[in-house]
Amino acid sequence: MPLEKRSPSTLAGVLALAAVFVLAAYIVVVPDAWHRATNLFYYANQGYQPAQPLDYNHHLHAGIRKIPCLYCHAGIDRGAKGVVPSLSVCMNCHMAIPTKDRPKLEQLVSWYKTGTPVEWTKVHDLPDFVRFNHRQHLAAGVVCQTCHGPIQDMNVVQQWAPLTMGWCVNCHRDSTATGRHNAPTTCQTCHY
Amino acid sequence: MSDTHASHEWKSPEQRRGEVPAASLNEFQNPARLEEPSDSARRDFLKIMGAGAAAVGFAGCARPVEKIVPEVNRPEQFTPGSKVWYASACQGCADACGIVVKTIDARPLKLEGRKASLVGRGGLCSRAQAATYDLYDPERLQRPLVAGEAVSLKAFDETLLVELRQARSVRWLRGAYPSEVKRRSVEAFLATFQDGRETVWDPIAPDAALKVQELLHGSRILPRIRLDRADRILDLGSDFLNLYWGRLDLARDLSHRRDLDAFPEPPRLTSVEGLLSHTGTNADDRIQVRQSQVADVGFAVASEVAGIVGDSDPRIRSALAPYSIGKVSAATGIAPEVLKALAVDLAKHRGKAVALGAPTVRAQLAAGILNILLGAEGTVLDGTVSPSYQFETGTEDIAALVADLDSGKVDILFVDGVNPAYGLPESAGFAKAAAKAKLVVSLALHKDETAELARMVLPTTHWLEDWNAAEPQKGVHQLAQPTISPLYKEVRSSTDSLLAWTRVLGKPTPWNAATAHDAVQGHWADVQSGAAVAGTFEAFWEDSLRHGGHVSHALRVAREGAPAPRPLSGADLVQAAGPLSPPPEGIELAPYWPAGIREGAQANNPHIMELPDPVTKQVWGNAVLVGPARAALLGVKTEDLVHVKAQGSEFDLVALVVPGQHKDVVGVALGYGRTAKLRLLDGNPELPVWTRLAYADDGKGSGTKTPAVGVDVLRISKTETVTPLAAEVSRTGRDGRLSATQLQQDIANQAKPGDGEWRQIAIQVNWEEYEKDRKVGTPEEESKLFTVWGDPVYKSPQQWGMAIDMNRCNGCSACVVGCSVENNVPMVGFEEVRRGREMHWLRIDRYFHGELEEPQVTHQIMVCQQCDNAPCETVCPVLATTHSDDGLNQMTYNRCIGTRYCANNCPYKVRRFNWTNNWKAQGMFDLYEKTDDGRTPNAPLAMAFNPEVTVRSRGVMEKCTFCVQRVQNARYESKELGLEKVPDGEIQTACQQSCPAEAIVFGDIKDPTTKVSRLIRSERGYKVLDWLQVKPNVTYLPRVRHTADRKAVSAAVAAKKQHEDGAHEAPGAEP
Amino acid sequence: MSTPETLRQRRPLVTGGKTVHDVSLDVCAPAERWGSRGYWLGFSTSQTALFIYLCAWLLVQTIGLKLVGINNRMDWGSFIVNFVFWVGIGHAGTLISAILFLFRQNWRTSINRAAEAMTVFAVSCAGVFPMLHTGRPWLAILFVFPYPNFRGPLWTNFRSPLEWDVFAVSTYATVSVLFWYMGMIPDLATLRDRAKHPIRKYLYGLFSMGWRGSMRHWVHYETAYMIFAALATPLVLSVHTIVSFDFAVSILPGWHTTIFPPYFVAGAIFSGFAMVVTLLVPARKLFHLEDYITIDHLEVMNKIILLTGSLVGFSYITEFFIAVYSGAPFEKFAFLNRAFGPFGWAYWIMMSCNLITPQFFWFKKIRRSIPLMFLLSIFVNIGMWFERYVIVVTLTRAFVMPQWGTYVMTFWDAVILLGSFGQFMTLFLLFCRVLPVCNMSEIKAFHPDTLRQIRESHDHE
Repeated sequence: MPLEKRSPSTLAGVLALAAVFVLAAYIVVVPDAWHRATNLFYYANQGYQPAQPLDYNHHLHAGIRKIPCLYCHAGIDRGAKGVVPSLSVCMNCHMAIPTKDRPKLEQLVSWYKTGTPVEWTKVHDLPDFVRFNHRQHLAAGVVCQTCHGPIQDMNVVQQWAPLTMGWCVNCHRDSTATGRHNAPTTCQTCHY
Repeated sequence: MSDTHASHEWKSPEQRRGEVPAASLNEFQNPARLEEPSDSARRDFLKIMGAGAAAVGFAGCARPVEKIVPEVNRPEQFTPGSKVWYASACQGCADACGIVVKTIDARPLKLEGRKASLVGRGGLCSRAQAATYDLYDPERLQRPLVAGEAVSLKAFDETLLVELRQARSVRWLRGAYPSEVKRRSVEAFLATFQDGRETVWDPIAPDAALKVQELLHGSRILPRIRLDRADRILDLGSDFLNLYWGRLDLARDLSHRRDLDAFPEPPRLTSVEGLLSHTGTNADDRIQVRQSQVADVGFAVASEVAGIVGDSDPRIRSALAPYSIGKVSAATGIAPEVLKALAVDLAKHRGKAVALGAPTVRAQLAAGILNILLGAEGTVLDGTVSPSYQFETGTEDIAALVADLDSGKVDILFVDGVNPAYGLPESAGFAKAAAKAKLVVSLALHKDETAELARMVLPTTHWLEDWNAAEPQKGVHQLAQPTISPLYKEVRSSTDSLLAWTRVLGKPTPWNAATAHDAVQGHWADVQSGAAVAGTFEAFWEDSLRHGGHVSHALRVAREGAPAPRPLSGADLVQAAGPLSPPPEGIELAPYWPAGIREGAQANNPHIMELPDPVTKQVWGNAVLVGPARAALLGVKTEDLVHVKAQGSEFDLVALVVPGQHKDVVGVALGYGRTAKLRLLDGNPELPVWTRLAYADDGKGSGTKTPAVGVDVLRISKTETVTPLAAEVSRTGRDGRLSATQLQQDIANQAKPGDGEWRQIAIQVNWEEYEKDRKVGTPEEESKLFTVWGDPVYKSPQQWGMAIDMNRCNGCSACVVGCSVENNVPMVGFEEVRRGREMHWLRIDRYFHGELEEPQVTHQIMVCQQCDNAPCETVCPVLATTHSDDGLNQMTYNRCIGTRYCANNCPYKVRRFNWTNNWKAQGMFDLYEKTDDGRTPNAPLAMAFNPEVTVRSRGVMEKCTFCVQRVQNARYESKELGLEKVPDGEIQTACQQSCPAEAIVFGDIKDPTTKVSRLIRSERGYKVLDWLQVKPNVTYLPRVRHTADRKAVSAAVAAKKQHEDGAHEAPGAEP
Repeated sequence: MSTPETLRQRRPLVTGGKTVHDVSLDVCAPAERWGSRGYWLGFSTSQTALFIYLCAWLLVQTIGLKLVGINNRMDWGSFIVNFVFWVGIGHAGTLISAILFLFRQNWRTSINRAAEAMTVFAVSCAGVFPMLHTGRPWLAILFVFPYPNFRGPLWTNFRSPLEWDVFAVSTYATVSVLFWYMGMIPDLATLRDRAKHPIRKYLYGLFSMGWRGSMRHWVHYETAYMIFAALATPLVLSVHTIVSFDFAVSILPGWHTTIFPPYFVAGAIFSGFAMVVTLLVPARKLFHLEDYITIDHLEVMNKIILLTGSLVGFSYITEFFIAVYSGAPFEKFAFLNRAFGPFGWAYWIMMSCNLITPQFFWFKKIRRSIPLMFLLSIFVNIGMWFERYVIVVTLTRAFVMPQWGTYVMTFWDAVILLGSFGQFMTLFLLFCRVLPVCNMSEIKAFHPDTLRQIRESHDHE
């Protein structure tokens, strides 16, 4: 029947099919489209790597020079918050290190001398309704790399883990299941 | 013993392991900090702005980029985000209770009572609980003012010194605080002038009591009252829980004696009063009488007691002569049997009875005489071993100062931290007199009414930024240390100013101190020598700092013993007592100090303004309190606008009907109606967003808003502010508006005989019944419904529960503020409260039992009951409220979508919904928001947030969490110490901690040995609405009223009725 | 399919001697003619209301729910009332088209289309409220549906009646839309074939899915229609049962009653039919359909209103009696408070409108009088709104006396209530102009002429 051939509904069907193909193509072609989607919907900021005012190099200090984390991040095992070292801590070593024709070090020293605090950009930024306590996790023997990744190999710090709720909960579940720790998974472990 | 107490005071493991961060204790000892506070102030700012998180608890859609700004030089041992507790002393009022201050990131965030302190003993009042909101008040003065011009501190000093150099006669007016440092600093400063005199003045100071003490015992020393030794307490309109010196100790002792497990018989508190006062609601018996006749009743009882105990002292007998029971009962309409019975009962408990009088000379005298007759001196009253110094001796009368000023010979008047322009009644004529002084200098926190009069205004530090030392009771030395360096550069504590000016004037300062810190150390050296403490001063100083003061062991022992009674000095009592005045006619207007706002100093503090009055439950303003009988006569009901005429002046104010108030007495709360241009008062044009809270619609939907801060009765009152005035009250026929957390309609409902009783929610029983059957009044087992839910099983070794003893709770509402400050609970303002949208997580329900005229009041603390079968949990579609391993009903704010079904389904109605972004509406989030001239007006207030608790935003349900943040901290701290469980008493919820009456007990209910488990097993314990089978985890202990035998009381009522009828027929017919 | 014999005795379903061709002409007329002045008046009014409605929602959603009357004493208010009201309205359509179809009630043919349309629009009005009454709708949309997620994963609470609601209402909406649309396909084809304008032709063509009216199409159509009817029938009963669980599953005295499901369903059908009458009385006049939607149709509906109305009234009395008789003090208090408490006026409005009003339909005169039935049906609508209001304001006096409160609807409550009628009327009037108001194909199937032909064909054999 000619009427059937010209039926507009057939046209609609074709269009719908085309749309599906385009979407599929996007997922196949575009790299980590899935990951982008999660970032979009769950604010998982994985891979976030902002530029910092002072390009401090973890790879150099923690990786090559093997300075222990808690030397600079002292007190992180005493408080809930992550402790970003103050300039005076840097100067403990750097007052002995010549700054001649090393502009970055000169900048560091001048900031210290003028008492200008460094305004770092927060990389691992949990929502404010999440209570993460460094002290608890260190006390339980969780190493920094578990959440921060191979920080000693990073020239510029980036968010290694997705830090989504599911990611946290999985770790809590597994460690409890394996009997390594007794990590609770009730809501108010993190939310209150 | 100090060690064990220390472990209570110091709440972090470092402390328990004895690693007190010495540096953080020392960090304020460096005078440099005081000279350049700006640096540290800025650093405090950077800290929060960096930590950012503190302010913004908001599940936003866009990811904000946050900054971390570490200090350039971080202080030794300072760990960002971890708590440091400082022991200190409260300077909010003259009581000088011991406190510990929780600081995080160098910000004081929560004040708590210090258990080891002999004054306060771990409790803390609502005023102190709210103090941090005064400290971070964005309207604090930040720069000195000279003739309205903002100048630098330096310029101010220079201008002032010119004046000082040529000044002859100088007056220093300050608030009452038992501080040797302050006293001597003022002394030294005034010594530099030919005629310098100090006046100590506190609106609520018991001047009458001091006068009477002098009259009776020859010295102006207030005794320390030890209610825990009193079996019978006669309250002559004193409202002592609210107005007396050391009121927290009174509350604690009273509640301690009411512990039915510890004592064979509770004490009997008999209140004689016209209004239904806060103390009256806690009375076992109430006798209603005109406020002006309270003293007469006191004398009558005294004369009867004198007869019984056979006291032969002629002075007393002659003073009491005109007050036979017959005459007084004729004048007051109280049945003579009642007074007789009362007198007999008191006399029977001679040596264990005490009378406390209203703040008028005659009432105090009546109480004083009764105390002598009843042998309270030396047993209940301690006037010798460790009496109260809280209200200092030898204060000049404020009237004399005003007279001086009026004569115009005063050159400079310094007003230090008090507000006479508001606090003194109109008739005192302070403003007029002050205008005659050449210069008025106001040292103030805000631009209050007095500061507006003054030509020079010097912003002072908040007391949390000050050094000070106090001796509230003889030998009890409190040490107050700053917990934050001054927020602003151009402010200075008054003590620092005094010392600085004295030095510049070339005169010696006490202890040659340059700063308050030096002065306090100097004074402390005296304390050491006085108490003969061995060892170096440094050691003593460190120890004192750690414990917030020093009390010699000898004194501790002596205080427990029996002090020597003070003899009656040879004075003429007859003249003071006066003759029995004839029965007054008409209505009398009785102004009174309300429990929350008191004299009104904190009227710019939302937590205080929105604190429901313990009796009326009113917030954001005052009302004309009318008894039901009078209301019927006037034809007014609650929320009618009434017209009051007294002392030739008049005002309109909304009426509020209060059961149990005397027919001829109307009450109006003082402390309201301030006119200062502050955001919560008359409105601050610079901070428009703030003014919403205090403003009320006109109720006609026209959108016009007016300040709802009430009416200031002092404008019409006499000097003795709480004396009743003859007044006329009439209805205007117009409607007024008031805001109360408990709608007034429920008064009528609950006063219906029997109604409210069958609900078995707030249970109160009579002592006689209780003696016979300990379970009397509590619901039976079989009344429970059938349930399909089994008993809960919790993984955690501990389960949390609470026990609330309604017999201990007196409804003071300190817990309400404590809870709000701890948990970032927003205040919502007049209109929202009026619509029933207050956010308090913890509320105190007030129940009336019995008749409208003779009600009995029960205060019931209502928090989330953390039900095992929580009805809220089953109905939440998104699992935002669920049950935790340790039996808590947890609320996950970020999951909540706000269907509010949980709130509907909560039988206790403890859930609170954020109907709008409350904090945002108050500008609390505008941390980075700058005004046109580049100020960040709200920045300081955001520092008041407790960073350990999420700040809820719009559309989210919230409720009491049993202070889960404290539970979690305690849990992992014990875990680190290798403990299986959190030790009992280690976790204190904010409400429990702040309760002066120890009415709240929190702990592990799985472990039968804990204190809370013992209370839960108590046979009089019951659970509210237990029959619903929601299995609540809060156990209540009923209020047991130790009333006098019923016959006398009913006779009294009958007699009173007759008297009234008679009065109606033939006014003045009585002899 | 009823036999011609049974049909012979009945009054004709189409009056005025209309031929089968007239059916197409008359029913398609509104869609092919420019609207009358009366139509445009009604349409513009309801559109204005709709616009205000949207603005009101925008404001309430930006400032917060503090704009409306609910408070911490009473957390549900007019929004829930409106929701239940509209869902209730949405019952008549499916009942008429599904249940009456299964019961071979041929008189349904001329009204079922309009009734179904009304159902769909009512449900769409209802759907707005539960979503927007939440504190954070933007999250509600994300969280109420169970799906794999990155939160652990975290599912929804299947014990919550609100969660059941999500499924019940969305299922109901879906099925009624499909049912409505499917029944329309042949008529859309008719419109397509009559259409002159190419765009009209295209659109009607698109939605008539190439219907040719071939035997094969009709066979499939009939089967599918039957299946849909069977699917929709239980939904008619389930939806309002589950909506009633929102209240019945709670523990509040006055809400926690087992009688709610039946009486909610009865009430829903009651209000639904009342609304059908309210709409069709003016509609048949406006679009000159008196010969298809005859007075007989309306009378039958009034009979159903009488039946369901009496059921509802009976349940009112029963629950009151049980509450007072049971001796459960809180229950007793709740119901006495309903009748004689501060909201007693609402209770008595409800009683008089829902209990007394339908009783007038015992009289044939009233059943057949257009103005009276219109008036009475409106009273029923009012009464049914107040029924839900009375149930919800029970919250103001729950267990704990100091937390007793009151409820005053604000300006915005009122605007949103009226605005939702704007939404409803806009959709309905649009429907009348662009879609066939009556089910032409079925009317033709039961047209006297058709029946005569059938009879003749029977006689031939």
